[in-house]
Amino acid sequence: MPAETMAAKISYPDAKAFQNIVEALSKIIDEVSLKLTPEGARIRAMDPAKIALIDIWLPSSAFLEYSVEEEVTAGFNVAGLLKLLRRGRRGDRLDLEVTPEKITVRMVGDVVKKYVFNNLEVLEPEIPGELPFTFKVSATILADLFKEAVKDAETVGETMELEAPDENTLYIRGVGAEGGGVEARLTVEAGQIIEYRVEEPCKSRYSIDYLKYVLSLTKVADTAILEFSSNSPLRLRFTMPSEGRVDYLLAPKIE
Amino acid sequence: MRLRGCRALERLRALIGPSLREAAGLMEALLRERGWMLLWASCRAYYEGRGASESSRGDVLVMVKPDRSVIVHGPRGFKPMNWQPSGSTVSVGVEAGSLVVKALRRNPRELLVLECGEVYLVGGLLEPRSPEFYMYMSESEIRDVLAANPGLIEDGLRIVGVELPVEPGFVDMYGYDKDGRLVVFEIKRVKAGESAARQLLRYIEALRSRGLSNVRGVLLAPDFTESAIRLLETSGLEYKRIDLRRLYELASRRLLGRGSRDLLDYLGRG
Repeated sequence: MPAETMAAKISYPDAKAFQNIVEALSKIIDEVSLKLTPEGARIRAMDPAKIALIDIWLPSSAFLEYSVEEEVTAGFNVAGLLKLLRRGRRGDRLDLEVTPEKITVRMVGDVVKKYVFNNLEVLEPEIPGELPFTFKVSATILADLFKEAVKDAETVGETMELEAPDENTLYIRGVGAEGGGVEARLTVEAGQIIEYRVEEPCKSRYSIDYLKYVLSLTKVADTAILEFSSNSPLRLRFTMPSEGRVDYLLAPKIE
Repeated sequence: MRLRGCRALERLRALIGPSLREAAGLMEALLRERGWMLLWASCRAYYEGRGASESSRGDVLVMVKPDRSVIVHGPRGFKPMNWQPSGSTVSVGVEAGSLVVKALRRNPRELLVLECGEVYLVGGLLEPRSPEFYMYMSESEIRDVLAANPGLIEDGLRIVGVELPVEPGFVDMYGYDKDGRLVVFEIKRVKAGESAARQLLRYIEALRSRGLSNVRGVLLAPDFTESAIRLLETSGLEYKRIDLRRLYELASRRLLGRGSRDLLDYLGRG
């Protein structure tokens, strides 16, 4: 096979975990490009309303097999990929083979299911690689705790407020349109916050609908890192046991 | 009977005046294939669950949807006589000279049984496609979505303003293309006719009379009449179709995250 048509081959150990990532992606965008480099696999996608950005990084070490000689991009329809991933079973392995024309997906379990897609040309968002700002607050909490807080907040309204008044306490509030609210108080001393850095007291609000988009990621990560500053974007970082991570950057609500 | 004719009919199955066994066979196949099923028959209906009821034999129209919701209509009124919600377990069989349709909801337990002595018609549509509702958007909403997503119109376009006053009125939106040329847009939310093309032409002529000879004029609409296209082409103007559904999706997302800032305000615009 000539070098220019060599296929990139990667094999991810847990098709279901990959499905949870794609579930979150599917809420945000219709088509994405998966960029494979010798170092790892990356997806960056911004939602069409430009409120949220998802950045997925899976290093080559997160894969069972990772054979990528040079950069190649796999452009696919997210809903289409999700549909077939949902056909997989727990314990299935996910194999991807990418050529400039085709993407071959195999789910390998008791049976091998093979699907072939056209490799779509998908424009990547034109955004800087590094964030041009820093976060004044960084809180590591259990992913499930975050999920519960979002669900509690949802019961009263469309807005979630994060407040870090001091180096011990983090408030996660649901803010109702008519003054109602629900509040979760997390503290370092009670062990609900695993790691906490507060450079200055901060408070910021975010869309709950947009936070719900990524709740499926709480299934693939044990912890969630919440990073924010006053009236600034929130970065949610989900680190997976397999070394990969998903960053979700969400614009603040300023009403 | 598999109806023939147009392509859509290939998804349609129907039996008129079938025997009970024929009707049961088709209904079972439709259930298996998650078709959208219709049964017109003379039936008795029994219900037990939160209460209990029984109807006398009469003509009914039964609908079983692909999500396994069941609706039973009599010949009058808009409300169904009986129904079961989606997710019910539906079965069909022939028992003691009747076609029996059972719809069981497990939690809370509710059972609907239809006992049909005679079947007039049974039919079904395979792979039914759900219609999607989307609201009509105003021209200003369309303009705002396009202004926020100029890439939907053309690559490299930069929108710099809206509602530019030009002698006969206001230009909907304007910006610069990737070559730095001024582009003026007239937006229509319905099929654009010759009058829309003339309106754009008037704006362009007004701008050209001010010395802006290099200006481009583009009419944006879901569709165009032939006379509009002819006038645009002979006047050196352009037209581009806009996908209202896509724009509505984008507007809906903005609505979901209403109050949220634009992330690019923080990230920079590439």
